[in-house]
Amino acid sequence: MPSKTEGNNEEPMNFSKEHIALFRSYRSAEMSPTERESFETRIAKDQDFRRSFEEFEAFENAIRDAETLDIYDRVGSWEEKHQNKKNTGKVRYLWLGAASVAAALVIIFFIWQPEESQSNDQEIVASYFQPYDNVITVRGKKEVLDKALLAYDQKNYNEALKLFNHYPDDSIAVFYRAETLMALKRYKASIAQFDRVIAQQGIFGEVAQYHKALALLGVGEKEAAITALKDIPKDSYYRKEARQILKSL
Amino acid sequence: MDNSQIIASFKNEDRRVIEKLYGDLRPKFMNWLKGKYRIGKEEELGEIYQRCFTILYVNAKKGKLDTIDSSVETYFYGIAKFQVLEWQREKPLFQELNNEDELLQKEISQFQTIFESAELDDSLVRKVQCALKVLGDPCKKILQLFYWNGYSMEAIARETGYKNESVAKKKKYGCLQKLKEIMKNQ
Repeated sequence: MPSKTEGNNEEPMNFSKEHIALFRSYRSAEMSPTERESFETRIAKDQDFRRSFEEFEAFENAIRDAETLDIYDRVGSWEEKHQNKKNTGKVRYLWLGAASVAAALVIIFFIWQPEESQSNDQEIVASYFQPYDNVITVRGKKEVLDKALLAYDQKNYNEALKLFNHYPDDSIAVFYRAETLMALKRYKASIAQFDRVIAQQGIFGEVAQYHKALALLGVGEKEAAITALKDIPKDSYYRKEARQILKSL
Repeated sequence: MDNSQIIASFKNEDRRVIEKLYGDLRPKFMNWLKGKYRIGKEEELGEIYQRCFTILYVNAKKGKLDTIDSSVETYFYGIAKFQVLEWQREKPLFQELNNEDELLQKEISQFQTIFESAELDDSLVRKVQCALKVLGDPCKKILQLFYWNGYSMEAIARETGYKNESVAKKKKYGCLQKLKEIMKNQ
């Protein structure tokens, strides 16, 4: 299982088609006892052949394990959300405590300092917005979209945006473009994209509705954001967060 | 949701449902870990839960839960017992579980090398994971069916619509070469 070809500087993974066929035949027990013996003798005596065999085994194991690693990473991103929620929850609790003590001052502050109020709203957006996981496996020939999603995964949002723009009407690209714009704090531009996603009534509709509400808050359209947050249905996965935000607005 | 619905969600990659299940099982599981194994650090609890859930996810997707008699949750706690044992191998605070399910135990120990590789950005599996994303479908799908799902070339030909086993085999070889090239250029 372990993949240990790191540190080998001599032209790694230089296995031929014939070698591959031979290695697979050995591993799948298709060889006759004589062929097997001969293979094992070669492994024992020929260093290059042995190294090539070990590299190929490591390569195959890594291909097999990559999918499990994808799943592990995906589950990890969910775990991260839970841990973050807990941390931001604590911070919010302290902030609300302080705010209640100085409630009158805060009200005056909001009335006379609208710009500051907006900056608080943006803090809320920053603490609640999590770019949606890349849950897409691109099929067919959309190589650029695949690269865009890879850049998105790597949080290289400027690059991702450029690449998503190659697909102005692709439903996946529209959604992830909206998410990318949010990550870049280009809230106004993201709203138009979220509207398109919501209109499609597809699998991203629910998250788009929630993130659009955050985007509205980001551009200072507080009333519209409140309405959008209130509109999030009871059975929505984001209902709880929406209620929490409403309480803090 | 009953067993079959949960298993179907994993198989169909219904990630919204799976993520919800992740959140639903989490609080009870964390309390169980804290109570039974005296694990108190939030970070460790999260990591163990992540690992257990990954194993559940992989096994369900591979069809290993299709014939279980117990509920998915009971099966999940079965995984957890062995995963905690693996976790505590380096920190033996609490030991001794019955070897009642050697197969599951063996399976779970095989996952550990992947979990360990996950921590290293330059591990071969991380490089391959990255290269597979660039490679894209249909190559990625073919390699995944062969190596991860363990399909025969004949089954891959059927699944992907190639004319026969021989065509699929050639395609697979081409895909391996492409993957190798991507990795060399990374």
